Amino acid sequence: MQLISEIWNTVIIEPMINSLVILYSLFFNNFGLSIIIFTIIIRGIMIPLTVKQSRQIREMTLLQPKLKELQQKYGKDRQKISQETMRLYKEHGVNPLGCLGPMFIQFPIWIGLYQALIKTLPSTPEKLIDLSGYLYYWMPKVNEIIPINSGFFWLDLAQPDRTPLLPILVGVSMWMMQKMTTIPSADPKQQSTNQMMLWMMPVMFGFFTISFPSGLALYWIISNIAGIVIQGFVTGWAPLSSIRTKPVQPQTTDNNENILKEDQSITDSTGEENNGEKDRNESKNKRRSNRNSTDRTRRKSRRSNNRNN
Amino acid sequence: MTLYLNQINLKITKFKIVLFISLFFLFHASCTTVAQPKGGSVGIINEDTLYTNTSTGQIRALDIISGEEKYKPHWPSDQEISIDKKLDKEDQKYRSLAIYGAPAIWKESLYLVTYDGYLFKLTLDLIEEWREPIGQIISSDNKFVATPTIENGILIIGSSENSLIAFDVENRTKKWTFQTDGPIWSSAYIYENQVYFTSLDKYIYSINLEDGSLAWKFKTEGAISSSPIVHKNKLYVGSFDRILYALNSKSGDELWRFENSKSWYWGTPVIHEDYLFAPSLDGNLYALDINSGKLLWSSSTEGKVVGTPAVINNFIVISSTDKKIRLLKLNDGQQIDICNIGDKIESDIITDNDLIFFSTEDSIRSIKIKQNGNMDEEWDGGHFFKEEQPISSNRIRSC
Repeated sequence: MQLISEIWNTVIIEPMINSLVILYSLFFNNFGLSIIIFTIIIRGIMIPLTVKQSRQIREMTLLQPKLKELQQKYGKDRQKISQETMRLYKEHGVNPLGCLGPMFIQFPIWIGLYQALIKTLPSTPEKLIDLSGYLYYWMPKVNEIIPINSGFFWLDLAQPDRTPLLPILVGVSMWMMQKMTTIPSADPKQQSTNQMMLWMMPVMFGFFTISFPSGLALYWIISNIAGIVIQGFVTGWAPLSSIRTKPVQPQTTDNNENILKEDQSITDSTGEENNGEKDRNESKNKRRSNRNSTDRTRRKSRRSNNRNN
Repeated sequence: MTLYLNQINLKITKFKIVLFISLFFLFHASCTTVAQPKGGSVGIINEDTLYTNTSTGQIRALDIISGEEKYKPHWPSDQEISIDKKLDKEDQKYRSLAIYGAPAIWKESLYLVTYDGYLFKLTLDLIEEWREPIGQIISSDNKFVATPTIENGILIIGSSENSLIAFDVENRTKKWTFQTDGPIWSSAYIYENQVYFTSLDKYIYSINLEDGSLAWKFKTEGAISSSPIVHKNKLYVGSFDRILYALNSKSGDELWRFENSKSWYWGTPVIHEDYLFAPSLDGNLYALDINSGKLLWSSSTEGKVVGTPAVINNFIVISSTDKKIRLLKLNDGQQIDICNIGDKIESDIITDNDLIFFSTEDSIRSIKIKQNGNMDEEWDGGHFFKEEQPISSNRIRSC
């Protein structure tokens, strides 16, 4: 256990603490700025994972109507449904558990960052003694800037915010993040769970903010905003739940074309797509899908040309 | 019929719920919210009584031979404790009653300053005579972690609100205050009517005891929490810049510096004859020539040497966060004996004849140093704070 703790400290905590300290010295001895920039850097490093996660979420959202059709088509033949679903996922390059991978990788980073923030802003003498064990003394200026000045606007970053502003900001940013990333579902059970998550997390984190150092709350807010921006660029700025879509077209086969035709006829018959706004969304998504498939085709032809050359 | 995709989605959502509920409990169970001040110090010895302030926010008077509680404390009152108990959690029970600095004794009275800014005067049998909110002289949010120093009825203590306060304990009035640019965690050292202290603003100060006027200040490259010591017109103190300084106490001119430490200095250096012993958070005790600052020997531990060591007989005793007490020979640092206490030690070590005293997070311990250098733990293993019966007869001796 002690070995795990030492590895954790050496690999995660110490680099984070020292990065925060260096940023503090570079950015006008302002720890608030240090947290903001560090969060953006961490989010930047994780962009490939975040983008991958966002794409997976989008693909899964786009495939939903299609999967619904499969359910309707094959009725109670669950084995067939599973086979077809997996085939569909494979065709669209979707791994249903793919969005969990990045989450697993990000999770220790969140925990590490949280611990690093707490340790870098010691609120008592004994905590400052602890901090001495995490610093890289070979780093320039490290001894000169300790203890860190924890003031940032009206906040003492080592203490909880005494006003309700920060808990509200954390809650709102978390809610927006959740709203954008929640995968819509036709299943009422799933829908209610999604609704619960949509409110539970912002409330929970808002509650955390009341008793946690405001430096951590600042991290959550910036991290949420960064997440929203990344998600916005990848999947669009509208929440996923507002997307009523047709799936992204995979490589065209007769079979798929038939299914798509069937999809169209079913959606037409239900009259769901008569709403003007939904039409606009659909045409937007169609354009995106076409762009994607055109891009893919171009890339493929380029690759084959290269091979031929 | 449950859709296949929805099953997967449901699993992911459930995973997220479990993840964040785990987060919730992880955050709260690991007590890593804002750290609450605990306080605690080994205390001060007056005749045959050790007055110690515990990490549970209490003051206790212990017989130095038996470790038994001599007087039942009348402070904090049951009412004050019950108010704080409303905070419920064990670690927060005595939150506002935390005391970092050891009590000071003057004219048969104890003076102690709580973390939240109250100066208490207690009789030697622990009856409260009065209390003064001296923190409010500067601000209502003033915090105190230093040990007060008393000279001729003037109590001097540094505060977190960048000020040194001189308080007349006979008239219960402020005498003067001195403003710095950073919190003051060190204890003041009074020598020939001058007050010497350090601050986290990186300066070592010398000010006049009478009126608080500045005599000189010396800038280091790091914050300073270590208390200075003055001997034969020379001041010695270590800084977070990993340098131990020797200054002329009259002028503030630098005499020499020692730069071998790999971490900060926290504890106060100890002087014995021509030796200067400097404890460092890099886990070493450095023995220097007091005149030149030349390294004579060093002894390493596996933790941090936080507290001030003590000289007893021909030995020096050091504590470490590696949970061990070490007895070293004065002249060459050879380790004579080691005692595993089983809990990390960050307190200073104080002595009385052949006994040493120090505190851990939940106990006060006493060890007898024999002439041959063997250590034996006294008081049947220690005086523990959080038990109904403070001394347990069946506790196993550590050494």
